[in-house]
Amino acid sequence: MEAFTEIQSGIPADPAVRGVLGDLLAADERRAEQAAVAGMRIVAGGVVALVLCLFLFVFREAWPLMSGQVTTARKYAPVTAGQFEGMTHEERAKYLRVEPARLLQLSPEAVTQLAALRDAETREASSQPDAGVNAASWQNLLFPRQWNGYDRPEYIWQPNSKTPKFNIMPLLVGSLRICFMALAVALPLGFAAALFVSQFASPKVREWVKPVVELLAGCPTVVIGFFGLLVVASMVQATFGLTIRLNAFVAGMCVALAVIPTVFSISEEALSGVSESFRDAARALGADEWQSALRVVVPAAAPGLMAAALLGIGRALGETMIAMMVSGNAAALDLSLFASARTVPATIGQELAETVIGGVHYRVLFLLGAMLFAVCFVTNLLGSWVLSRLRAVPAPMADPVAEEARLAR
Amino acid sequence: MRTLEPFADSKLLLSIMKHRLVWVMALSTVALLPGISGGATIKGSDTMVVLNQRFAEVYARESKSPAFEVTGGGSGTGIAALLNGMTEIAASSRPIKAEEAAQFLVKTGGAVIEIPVAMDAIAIFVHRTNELPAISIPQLAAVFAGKIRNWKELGGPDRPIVVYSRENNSGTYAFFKEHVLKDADFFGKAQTLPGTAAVINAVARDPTGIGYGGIGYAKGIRVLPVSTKERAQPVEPTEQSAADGSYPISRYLYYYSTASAMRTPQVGALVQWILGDAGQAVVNETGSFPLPKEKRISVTQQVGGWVATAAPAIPPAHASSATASTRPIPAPTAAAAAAAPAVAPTPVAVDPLRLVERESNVTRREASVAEREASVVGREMKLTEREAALAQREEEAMARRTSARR
Repeated sequence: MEAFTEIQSGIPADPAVRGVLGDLLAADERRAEQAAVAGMRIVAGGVVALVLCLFLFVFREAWPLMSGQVTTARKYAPVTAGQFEGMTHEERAKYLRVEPARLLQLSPEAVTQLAALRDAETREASSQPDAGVNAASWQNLLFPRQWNGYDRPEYIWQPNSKTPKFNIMPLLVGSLRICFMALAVALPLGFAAALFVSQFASPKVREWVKPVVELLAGCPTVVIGFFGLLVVASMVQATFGLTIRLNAFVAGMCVALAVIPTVFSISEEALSGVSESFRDAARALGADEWQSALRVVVPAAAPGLMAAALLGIGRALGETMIAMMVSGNAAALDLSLFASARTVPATIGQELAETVIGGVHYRVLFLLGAMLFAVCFVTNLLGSWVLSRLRAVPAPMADPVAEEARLAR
Repeated sequence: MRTLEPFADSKLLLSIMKHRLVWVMALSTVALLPGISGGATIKGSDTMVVLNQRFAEVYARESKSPAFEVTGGGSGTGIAALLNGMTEIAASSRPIKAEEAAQFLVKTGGAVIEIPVAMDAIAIFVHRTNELPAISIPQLAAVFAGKIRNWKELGGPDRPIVVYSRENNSGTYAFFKEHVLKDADFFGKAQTLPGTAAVINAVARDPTGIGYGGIGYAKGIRVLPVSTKERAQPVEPTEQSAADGSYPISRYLYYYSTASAMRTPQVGALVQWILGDAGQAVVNETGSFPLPKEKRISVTQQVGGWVATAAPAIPPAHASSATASTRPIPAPTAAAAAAAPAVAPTPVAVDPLRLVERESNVTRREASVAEREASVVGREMKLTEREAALAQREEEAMARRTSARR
């Protein structure tokens, strides 16, 4: 019991060891502390469990699609009134796509109407030329197909068509294009700003610049999106003489506005965290400010900068609102930066609200969500692996204090 | 076109913000529902958001009743919300699909109730400087399917066409796809924007752009006259041309609701008011078109019994045999008629041939009105009782709280 108390509160249970500190703490204060620690533990455990649940939920919803249990192929087999009468209760429930228990509760009129609706529905769906094709197979999700009415095989995302088409490549490529553009803008700017603020700026300037850039992080993305839609898009169009006003280039620039604060804050912290003694040593060896910043501080802070870049990628890939407003959302596979793009999160955001829960479209959106999840997971894993590699390699200028100690030995 | 909105941008901002807000609002609506008496909601079509807001505003002022909460999100979203019991009324700019109606039956055991509340023409938007005299339906289909990609092919200058479309949860999108594209896929490179206001905004800034949307939003752009065929007479979208079907892409705007919601005095009275002259005047203000009178009365009659209606006689452009045949047309049930609140038919000039039939209807209805009035009184008494009980419980709770504090 004593040992337990000790672990719980961090206060030695033995009165002799406890000494003054123990005497100062009244008994119920200690109890309150223990309760607080237990509470925190529960909350922390809950958070971990919640994240795990989220992960499991997304994959569970996408699983039937991943394992090929879902199909969009329809074949119309008319059921006459006589045949319907002859069916067992379970067969009827299956034909009407109702839970057997629910079917019992429906009035005869409702069942008749439902049968008519289901009949019309399947007849309509199966009258389409491509009705027999399963648009939700991996083959059709990832590779081009020549659908009826098209002249050649194409990557097509048309989930609300009479014959739904769920090729996800246009969305993946759209996300990558915008992410690439956003990073191309945000990383140089974010790093440069961080380097300036941490190494060259006077304390007074730093006092102003840092909060202002970080304020951008608090700016609602819908505001950035609106700004992009009305101002940035027009400016870019006028500058480059573009036909398509809303495109991946503009969207990338606006997403960069949301990414910059992330990159800036983390890299600024990493750069400021480099020990002053490093710079002193560099200067003692005759390096000027610029050399010491670029050759000494930046390499020393490399793991932090890497982390900033990785978090920036995560932010850019996951950004929904800005991409939705500014990218034009055309789901065509196009590698040009000046063409419109539709991103994965924007697609989920726009379409999930109106899908039938458990339907094919719903599952495809969850597949996209699971992919987004997986990509972020892999990026982070890769990032931490690189970080550990960077840390393991002895830096050209190791910690001077340790070095001194080693030499003394 | 008169609109009450001061400028399109505020509508655009609204329509975009609501995408994130929709969930928050839906959740908070659910959370607040038991707390606030009469916090009924209208949710759905983006095309109808302004119309719904005006309905709610004017109706609340005129009837001194609590205002309806109005949100957008798209027709599909509204119908899904109705299915999930998250709204009392779903506003939709397209007729309900067979699949949705079937889900509704499975979920509630009753048919969904369809009430056309206004007419709308889908206007074709181009930039103000665009001098194309008119466009035909086959040309429109080719442009929006990506077969025609240059204004030159339509007789304009040699410039590429930039196509603006809507998200696929939009009723306008669905309607356009069905009636103009004949169910072909939209051009993959068509930009899909959230809300008609966003389309207007994009086209207004793009001399090469073309878009489509409800006539009520047409401002700051040019509206192209549309002809049914290549050589046919182009028609401007007006109230007249929409009502008589000569404008090829006009449609009804619908409310969908459940029998139980329609039986509440609040929702029933709103629908009745909308179908009356006062409500239709509001429709006119927002730039959509009022229902033609003969359509209105037939709707009112059917709504009188609170049953699902088949869409009233539709101009040829709307008649799609597929949707018409899949429409659920349940028989009026006596129970539903008896439980519904009173609806007075709107007095209008009537076709003499239908008079006899209608008179017998009227007698029948009057009888049921009396019955219904009695039940309303009964219900009101029950309400007072419940309110008294509630007050008492609250007092008790207060007393308990004060004693606990002591």
